[in-house]
Amino acid sequence: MSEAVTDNNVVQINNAENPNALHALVQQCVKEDLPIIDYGFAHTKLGHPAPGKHVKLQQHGQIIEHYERDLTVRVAAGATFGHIQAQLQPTNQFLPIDADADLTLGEVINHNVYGPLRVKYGAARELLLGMRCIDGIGRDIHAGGRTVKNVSGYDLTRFMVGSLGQMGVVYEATIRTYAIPQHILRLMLRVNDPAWLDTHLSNWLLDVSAPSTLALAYEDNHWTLQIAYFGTATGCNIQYRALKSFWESPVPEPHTVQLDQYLDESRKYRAWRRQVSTLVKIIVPPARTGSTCLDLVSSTRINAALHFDVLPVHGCILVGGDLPAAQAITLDKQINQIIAQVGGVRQWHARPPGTESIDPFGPVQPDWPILKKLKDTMDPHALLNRGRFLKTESSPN
Amino acid sequence: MVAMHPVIDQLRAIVGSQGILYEQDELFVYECDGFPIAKGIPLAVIFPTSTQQVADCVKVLNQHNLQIVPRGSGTGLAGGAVVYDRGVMVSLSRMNKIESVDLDNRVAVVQAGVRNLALSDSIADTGWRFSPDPSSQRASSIGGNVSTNAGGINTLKHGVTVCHILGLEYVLPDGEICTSRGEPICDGIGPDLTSLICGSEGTLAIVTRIWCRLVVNPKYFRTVYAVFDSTYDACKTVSDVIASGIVPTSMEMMDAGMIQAVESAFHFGFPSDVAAMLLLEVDGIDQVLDEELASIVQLARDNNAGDIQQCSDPVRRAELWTARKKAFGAVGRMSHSYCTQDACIPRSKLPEAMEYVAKLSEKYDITITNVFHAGDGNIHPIMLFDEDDPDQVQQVLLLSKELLEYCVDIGGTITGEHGVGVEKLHLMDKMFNRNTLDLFLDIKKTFDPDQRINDAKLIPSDKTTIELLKPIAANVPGGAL
Repeated sequence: MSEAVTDNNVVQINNAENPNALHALVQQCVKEDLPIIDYGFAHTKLGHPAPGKHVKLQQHGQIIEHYERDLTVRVAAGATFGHIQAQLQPTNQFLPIDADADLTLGEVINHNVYGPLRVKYGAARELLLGMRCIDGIGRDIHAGGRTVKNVSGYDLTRFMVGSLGQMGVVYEATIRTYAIPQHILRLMLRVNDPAWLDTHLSNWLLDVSAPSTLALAYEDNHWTLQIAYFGTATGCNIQYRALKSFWESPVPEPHTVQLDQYLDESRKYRAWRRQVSTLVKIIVPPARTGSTCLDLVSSTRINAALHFDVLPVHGCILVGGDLPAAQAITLDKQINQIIAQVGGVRQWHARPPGTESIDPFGPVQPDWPILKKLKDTMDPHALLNRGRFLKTESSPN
Repeated sequence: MVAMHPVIDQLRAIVGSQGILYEQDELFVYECDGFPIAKGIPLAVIFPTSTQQVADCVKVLNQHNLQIVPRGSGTGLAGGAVVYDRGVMVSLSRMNKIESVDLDNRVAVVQAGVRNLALSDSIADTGWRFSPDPSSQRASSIGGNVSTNAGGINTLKHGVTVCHILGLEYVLPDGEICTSRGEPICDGIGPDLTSLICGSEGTLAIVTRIWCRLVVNPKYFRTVYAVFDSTYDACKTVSDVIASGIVPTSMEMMDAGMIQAVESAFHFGFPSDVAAMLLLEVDGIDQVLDEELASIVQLARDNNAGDIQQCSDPVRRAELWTARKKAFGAVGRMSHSYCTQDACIPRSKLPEAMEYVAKLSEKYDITITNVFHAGDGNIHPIMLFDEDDPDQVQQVLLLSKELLEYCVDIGGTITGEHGVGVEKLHLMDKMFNRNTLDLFLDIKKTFDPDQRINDAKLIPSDKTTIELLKPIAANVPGGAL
């Protein structure tokens, strides 16, 4: 099935989502040496500009089967999170990943999308149970299954998480669901020094007041912790009272919210990411998260223009803004210097024009040579998201 | 006298004379792991103490075109660490240093031979722990846990081994040393190679160093056991608890045979006239645990539970879990030989699956007793037999095959945590389509073009054929579960 083409580099928009259609698409693209770029609905802000002429794959889909009593769901990769959550809600279940309603499950897997819910529920790596994909020679691959434990064969399911669509076109996944929490308390805490978290977060996680979800945001020169407790009303209130004892300064009153309200508010807090020209994800050791944020604010001297979404438990920093090219390049240099000192990696999600000198992925990791060999094995013609991450001999660009 | 293989001297030069075994009588203990049907005597066993020694040994073994089989503590249950074709075993047991513990980043770096429990014991007073807890955790190594992506009792709530591994260092089949995400960071860039190597049963590389994620060691628990007059009712309770959305820390089940075995061996005071017992635990905030437990107890009562005993006393709790963890040891009092299966099925299918196990026991005239991770749907039927009786061995293999095929048919898998090893190789084509098996072999050859590291384990090989039934008589107990 094809749609109207609006991008000059896109020679075809293809909605193939079943294995036969995807197999046919791969065969056609091998023949014509056309790369396939796997788009979700918000790919432009999560991925990278597609190089050269290509087929734009845009999958659709829905829930295939909900194993309600097993708390697992089998979903077409093209299903959006809005659809998935809406279908699960009447059964009092949800998929605990912070993803915007228009993101597809395939996109979430390819980009390892996560947010504050990771603290309580883990990320896609912990939640995925099975995956089906078509590799770069058109083979229909089935990995994992619907059981919560499974060690038969190589774990291709988790291998695909964060793969940027390089190894195969995921067309279906089976994933764990969870019961919607009975009660959610949410509150914001202003923090003067985010580096405080670097030395105190472990102790906080040991305390009764340990949050179910935690994020640090920076806007208008202020750092704010977004805290939520999930559980029973009794449990959440005990945790909130414990927080008042644990915290050194006054703690504001919390708000009781429903899950959909919680998810909606989270989405609003990250809405800036879709609007800015510059967005980079940095992963550092968790105990360097706060200090890294401070370093970036103080050393780049562009702090007023910068937004931060930070997940201190996992050392994940999303930083961005509407920066001119020169400032984006300065930001990249500063990030690289910090990573050289503390360790970690960074990945650019969006770059303003004039920043082509920035390598979107870095620093080079020791296992990339093996990943390139695996790319050659699974996608020998370099059709899949060519040139986006793993540059192989078949795909030098 | 048989001439010594020339590789022995070269290996000895690397690991020292105390780091190699090659005399026939020293090698028998390494002929199998906890799957007593698969056996093979290695040419030698080496005990490197560093990653560099592993790499140097691998290069030497490549020169001689010898098969290489990595081994942790030998507690595997699927024949994954058995050496065929007179290959050389690389034991990681002397790589047993906890190199660093970083509580601010909540990560420990360990050598692969560190025992699972040794890590948690070493940080017991900090409030943190390494979560994976296979019942073999006193003996099994973390490298071995990584190799099979081991589960355990707490995985119901806290996840299997791969969920607690941040990065790996490993030696590739050509002797190169490599790392994946070898830093205290929670994510890398690109496909998750760490996850691919986890659970690869030593067929892609030899894991030598591990970045382990540490998690909060819960302070408060409620433990309960409930007994039932029917296995079906016990399984239905498990299914109902899962369906209710409650996630206990663990939910374990023993059937009548196992309760009696444990009771006669260890005298814990369990009733001996019941069909099944559920042992489960919740952890979390002290003040709300009773509320959570009450919901579970009600579900048990709804399913005709008899006696239900609750406890928050740490001493009694420790006794209950000791009973569970010693269950496999108690089987040794019931049978000359035994082996266990490890299918995992959707939790909602547990009641019917356990009825099917009972039918197979009758059909093949093999006694089966059960102790398993019910909350995960991970069943462990333990088959009691005499390994010196070829007919019984054959019946056990046929029973296993029929059971595992049934489990696949109802949406399950042939192995939830023990691995495929050599034991379940013949079922891989039931589990996977041809394309996927081809890709598995392609991946194996990408890492190991000459198919020299643990070939024909986990995935069928196009180079090596393993004869499962080798006529070597030995009495090897079934290991830990």
